[in-house]
Amino acid sequence: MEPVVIQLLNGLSIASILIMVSLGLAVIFGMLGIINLAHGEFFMLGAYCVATATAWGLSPWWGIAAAPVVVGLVGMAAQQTIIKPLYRRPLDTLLATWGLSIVLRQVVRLIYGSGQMMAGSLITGSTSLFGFGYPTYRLFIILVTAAIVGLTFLLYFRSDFGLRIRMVIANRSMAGALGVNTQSTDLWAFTIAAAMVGFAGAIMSPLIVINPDMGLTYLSRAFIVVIIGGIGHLYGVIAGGVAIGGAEAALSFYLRPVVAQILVVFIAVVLIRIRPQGLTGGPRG
Amino acid sequence: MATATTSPAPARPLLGRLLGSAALLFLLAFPAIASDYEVGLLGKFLVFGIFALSLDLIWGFSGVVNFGHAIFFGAGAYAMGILLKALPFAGATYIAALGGVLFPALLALVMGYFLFYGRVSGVFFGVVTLALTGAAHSIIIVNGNLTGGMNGLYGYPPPTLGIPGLWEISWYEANVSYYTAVIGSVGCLALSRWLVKSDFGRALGAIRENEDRAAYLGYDVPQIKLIIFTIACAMAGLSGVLYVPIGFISPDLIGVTMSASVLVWVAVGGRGTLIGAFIGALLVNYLQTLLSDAFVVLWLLLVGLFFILVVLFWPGGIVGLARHEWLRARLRALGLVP
Repeated sequence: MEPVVIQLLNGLSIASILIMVSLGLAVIFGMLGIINLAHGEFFMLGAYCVATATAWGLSPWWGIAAAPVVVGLVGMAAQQTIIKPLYRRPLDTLLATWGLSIVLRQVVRLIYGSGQMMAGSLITGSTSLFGFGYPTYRLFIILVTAAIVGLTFLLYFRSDFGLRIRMVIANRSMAGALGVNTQSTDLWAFTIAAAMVGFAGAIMSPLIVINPDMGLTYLSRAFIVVIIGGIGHLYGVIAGGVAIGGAEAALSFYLRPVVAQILVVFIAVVLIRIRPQGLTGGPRG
Repeated sequence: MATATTSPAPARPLLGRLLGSAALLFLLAFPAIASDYEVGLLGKFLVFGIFALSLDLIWGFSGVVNFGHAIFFGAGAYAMGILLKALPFAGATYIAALGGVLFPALLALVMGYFLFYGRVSGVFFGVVTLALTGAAHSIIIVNGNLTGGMNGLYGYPPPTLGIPGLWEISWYEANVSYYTAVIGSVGCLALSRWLVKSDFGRALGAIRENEDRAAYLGYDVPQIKLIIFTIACAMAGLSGVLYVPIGFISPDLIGVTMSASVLVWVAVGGRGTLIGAFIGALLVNYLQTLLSDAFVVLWLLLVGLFFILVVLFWPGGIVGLARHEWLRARLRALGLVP
């Protein structure tokens, strides 16, 4: 019984991480059609915020508070300078943001060096759940993810801003004609997505290796989650995150984590062939 | 897509032929005027040029951006090294080289089948291939027994060319590896030029410009994409094979950095121009050898920035810009533009 519960919790915690990393991407990439290959580097920057706070002797909580602001500003600048001029050239956006990801990696390398950084631990100890001990921090991450998902749905489905985003997604030129400022909607959607993934990086930082190249694995996993989950639905991210996270956790039980991640990529490719529209259906953009 | 002027200039003028012949003469005579080190360096750049050319074939002419192109370069090099190790007899080099071309082609066939028939196109293709690069890199590292893992593959018998048993010559020799690179470059360039000018090439152009319309006209879009993808990846494998005598087989060959570099070379040289791939590869790598030893980190930072600028302001690359200016000059001479 114990392994089952622990594995379920592991799967849930991997899924939460993936959902948190992919949520912003699902809106800007899956729906608005803005491509950002520097998404993984935004995640990395978030983790470096916590590492910097730790290195300065501050509480890691300061890093977590600063991460969404810092990364949100970086995202805002990137959207204004690189992504906006390329709006009608999606493939070039892909390339330019790829260049941006190289630049961000190298800037971090110049400032902090190539070595690993440490983030101070936030919550230590374990909590007893159904009679089994599980690290409290991982439970905290699951709860935070649930809260973020709830907030995102609220923002998307219940706020004026969410309404504007949905209008732009449904019909960009019509939304513009009806007086929606599509450019400012793009900008804020992108900034919020960047802030969210920066926050995800900050929250994750105590659990993972922090180095300038860490973003790459999260980038490809996030895109796979969005594509597998199905483009065009916010809840596709949750389906995709649970599917990929569950598969990784299940395979990691039998295999080395690296092998499990390789297998997941291949399973994802096969899945794309079988179900191009993703798990939750919907039209392909 | 901003790769507008991809059809080769209608009349390949005398100037172009002269430049081409001069470049070829220079390449052939280079070992006579340069040191072994420089010959080795230029050979390596030419191999990278073939690699870039293979990316340009799919990117510039069918609009498929492969972010995992290094998979096929590395697969060629690794297949060659592993086969050399496994076949310890004279003449094995030819079999190994053939394997180094066929294995990436097979890989491309399988991968392309899943992606193109799954209608994964445009940006999606870029993203999925990026994920696959990470997976391929991990596969190399995990299978240490076969590939040497993180340490790279070494200890294979030296590749030899010539007639097995009668007259053999080591491929490691600077001039030999250089001239194989030159022959490979010219051959691949000729093949690519023929390919893009053929009817098949025109169908490719149609798909790049408007996939749906090409499909309505009766073209089997996934099949055509699969064919060009396989050809291009076989060519990338060939460049990997040619790289074996010049460089070192390490997991870096399959890494994300290598995939990114080749994108930069093609973008700088000018996508959809074929020769631009060589120009970009030569220029960027030459600058890199001038600068990088002291400032590796800074160099990559500059490459990234430059790449962004090229994509934003200069999407045709060097060749695209040169053609544009040449055309302007012609029009100005005719008094058609101020």
